[in-house]
Amino acid sequence: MTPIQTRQKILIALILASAGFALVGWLQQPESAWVGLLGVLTVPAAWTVLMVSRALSDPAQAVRIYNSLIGAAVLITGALGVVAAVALGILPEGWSTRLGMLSSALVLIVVGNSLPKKIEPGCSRTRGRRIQRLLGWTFVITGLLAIPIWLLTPMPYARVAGLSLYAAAIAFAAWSVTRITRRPRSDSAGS
Amino acid sequence: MLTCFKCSKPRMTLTAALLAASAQIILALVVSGSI
Repeated sequence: MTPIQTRQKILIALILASAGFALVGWLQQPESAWVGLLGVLTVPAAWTVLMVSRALSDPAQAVRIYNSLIGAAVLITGALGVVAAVALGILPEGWSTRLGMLSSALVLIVVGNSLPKKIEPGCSRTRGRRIQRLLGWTFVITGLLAIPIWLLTPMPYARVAGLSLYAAAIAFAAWSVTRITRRPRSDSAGS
Repeated sequence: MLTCFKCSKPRMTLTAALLAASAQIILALVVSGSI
């Protein structure tokens, strides 16, 4: 079995597991079934877009893309598993939210930490490095700020603060990347 | 896949990182009960 086939099988297993968890959630709480459906469909939708856009045609790139898809699928399946556990009364509701948010914060830190280490040479190496460093730092700081929010803050405040933090991070990243890309020629300027 | 806005070279790392970050935000919205 090739590395790609292995990853495809893992991905299918995760999608099936997420569908199973969503089914449990649907049976226990039919009113929020569409959230489970959204979770189950996210990875297959992303997979389809990647296949249609021929992003998976290069085997070396495909392995990395499948790794990312598996990472996303693990998180979504984990989240749906926690939702199912709460629906069955195995986990208290507040802690399911806290655990979900903690995993989200940790992934942001891991992704942000690795992003500046894999600089892609484009037409402007300096600009590419700047964008990847900026997004890397944004992800890491967002994750580091999110951990105490979700661990220590009372739940109603944690929801507002945690989601506001993500919104602020998206706005900051979009604004900063726009600023970098609008610079006329960044190769001649220092890093 | 995202590409360089000037030379259209594929930006694999950025695509993967933004895919992962988007998954986190969807996860955060779902887990917090916002959607």
